[in-house]
Amino acid sequence: MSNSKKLLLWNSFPSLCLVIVLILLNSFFTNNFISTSFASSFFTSYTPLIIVAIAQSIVIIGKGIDLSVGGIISLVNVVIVSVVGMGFSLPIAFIVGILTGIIMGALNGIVIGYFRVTPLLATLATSSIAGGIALWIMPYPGGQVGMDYILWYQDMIFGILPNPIIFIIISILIWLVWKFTPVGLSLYAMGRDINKTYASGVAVNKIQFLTYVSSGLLSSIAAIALTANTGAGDPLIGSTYTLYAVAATVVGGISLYGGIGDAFGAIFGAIFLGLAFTLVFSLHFPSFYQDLASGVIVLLGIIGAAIMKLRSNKVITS
Amino acid sequence: MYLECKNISKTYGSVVAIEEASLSVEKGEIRAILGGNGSGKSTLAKIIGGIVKQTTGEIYINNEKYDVNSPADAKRKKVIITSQELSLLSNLTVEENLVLPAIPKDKFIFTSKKQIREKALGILKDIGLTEKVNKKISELPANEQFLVEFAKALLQEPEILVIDEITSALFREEVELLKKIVRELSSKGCTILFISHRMAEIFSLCSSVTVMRNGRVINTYKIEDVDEDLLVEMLTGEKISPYEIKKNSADQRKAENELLLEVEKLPLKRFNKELNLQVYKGEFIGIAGLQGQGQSDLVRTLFGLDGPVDIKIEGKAIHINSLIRSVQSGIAFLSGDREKEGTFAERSILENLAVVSEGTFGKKVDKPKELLNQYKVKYDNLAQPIKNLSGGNQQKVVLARWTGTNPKILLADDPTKGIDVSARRDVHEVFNNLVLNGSTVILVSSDDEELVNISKLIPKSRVLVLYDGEISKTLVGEEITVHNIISASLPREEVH
Repeated sequence: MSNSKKLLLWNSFPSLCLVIVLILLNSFFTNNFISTSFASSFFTSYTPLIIVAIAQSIVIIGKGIDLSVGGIISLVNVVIVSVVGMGFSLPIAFIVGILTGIIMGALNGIVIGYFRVTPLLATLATSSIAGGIALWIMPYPGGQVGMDYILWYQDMIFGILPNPIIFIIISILIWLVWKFTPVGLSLYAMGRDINKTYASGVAVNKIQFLTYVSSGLLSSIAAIALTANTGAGDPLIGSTYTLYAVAATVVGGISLYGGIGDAFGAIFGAIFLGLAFTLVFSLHFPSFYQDLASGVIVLLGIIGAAIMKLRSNKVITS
Repeated sequence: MYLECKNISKTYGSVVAIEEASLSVEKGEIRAILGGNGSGKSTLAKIIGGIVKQTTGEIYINNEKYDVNSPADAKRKKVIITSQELSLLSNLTVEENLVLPAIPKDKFIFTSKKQIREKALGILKDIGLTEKVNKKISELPANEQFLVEFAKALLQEPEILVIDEITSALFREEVELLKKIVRELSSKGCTILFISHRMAEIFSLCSSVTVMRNGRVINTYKIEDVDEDLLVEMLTGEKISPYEIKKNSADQRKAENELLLEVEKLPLKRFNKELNLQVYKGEFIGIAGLQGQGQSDLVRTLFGLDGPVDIKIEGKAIHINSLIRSVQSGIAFLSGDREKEGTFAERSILENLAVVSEGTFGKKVDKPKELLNQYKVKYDNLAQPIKNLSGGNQQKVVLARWTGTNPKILLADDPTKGIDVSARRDVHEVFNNLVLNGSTVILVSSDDEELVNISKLIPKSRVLVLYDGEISKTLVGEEITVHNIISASLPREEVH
């Protein structure tokens, strides 16, 4: 197969095209779009979404879904701010935050992998649990993580690469460990048909468990980035992320039926969403219509990605 | 005794799948397990393979208790099951599927693509599929998928290998290949349980045969002590009379010249060729040939699955541009792939039965129970999901779904593979009734003997033998023999 055909068949290709289209549109309508300062502010805002999209894509490729990512983000956010508030150093707060995310993920993994509860129901419940604990720890937004960390987050490496990208790189590494170790192959197999994968001698409950643990871990990394962006604790801050993460994976060519796609698609999907919001903002829509406008762009994006996928399949088969 | 099953029972709620089944097999023996629909042979295979757990009873291997809770457990003990319910994942490549039970790692923790390729090629060489190593499973025809499923089992170096109906979708030469491999395994000391409906395979491969019926082990024989008639009698519990040759009656002759279906230049895209076909009322058309010579393509294209086609039914020109149109014109299509194109696994028997009638014609099925009884479908109640039925009974329901709409033309793409002798017989009777009512049945079969048997049942039969997308020979009447079909299937020598 030639390289161009491979590119066309790549599940993440349509979402990459969408990103390019929105970059072009933004370069017309957004002031100062091609600049390091824009890149910095973009990644400051959208790094958490990109990371949580990676989290969601691992779960969805395995034919699950994790509705608790938003709740986990909120919980980890208030945990970090509270631990700092108790006088501990930032690294310790991060470690406690990450452990919190992993524990929540493990809870999902046990309920789904070993007690065989439907992912949708299980994570809906744990989402409420995580969000509930967050509210219990911190009933009102407040606290702060310290100016140093906030400034570092907004800074750039060598004045070019925004620092938030470090979090994205760590998250991509986690995905690559999946992708290039035997559990990755089992993940794709399980996403297509869990019974057949089980009959092949794969310990599917272990794989399922690991997907939710990874999702919890990545959600906590997203929360660490988000905490730098807001600088404070907010028990409801994660709630919007759950469905945007699902939207990013769908735009990114990951099938909700499992077994198809790649986390890079979800990254493109999240960047697409970010650029769509940026565009709507730059076009100076009245704030009442901003949701409507970004909804329409996202819908067009999903339809566009689906059409491109059909087209490229036709090109290959004919 | 090497493998011993003692008083194995398995119940699902109130349904008994196996009752007190006992079985012992020597090391290196090739044992056939023969049984009809719902005889419990597949359940027994699944228990040995660790996929389901027996309710009571014990298994011993080499006098050691064999107690497994998952397929992974069984694999650790080198007990491998390879089954017609393929364990292949369609989104992965052939090599990825082959190594899935034991994915090779490099020195660190990473998947070793190099070792995957080496392992896969090593085993694919034995089954002649090396060039398919990095094809997706979904791109492979059914017979090659079955071969890969078999190779996947071989790769795990089994000491006990259960082969459950793998041969049902294979073509003649592939079956020979499989038999050769199985014999080699057995000579190396691997114990083999071979589940098949094809008598010829059992007699040519196995050294002994265990007959199961209604969840019980009836008896075990040395292969030289039995013949086909005796086995059929044992497994059905009744004598099945051989297919009788019927003489053409005067009525059927009258219908002879009434043209039912006329196709000119039917395109077989895969071969870049066109076929002409004329079918008369009350005629049975069998389609034979080596693997993938266009047999499936013919019926699928005719049904409209491969783009619009122009046909004439009873002299009326019809442009088929959608499947709804072809169904409304009186064409029915019975697929061999029950899982994908036949049943709605999770839905009830009644819904599965009514879907064409209600969905396409907006008519209720009257007397569904009578219809199912007439087809000898064994079931508890109409509301149970169809997946609870055995394969043969599922296929009968799907057949009843179509025949209930009185189709003029029934296209069938190897529908009886993996179905036991008596269920096959029932399906053949349904074909016969359709033909007697002036319809036609166009049947693709990978089993030449099946076509010969039906041609004995239905006097007006024709068998078209395809080669490379062309009809290489048409056999009628007494010319239809396994020998003639085989010799017509083989590629003709080019004369220079």
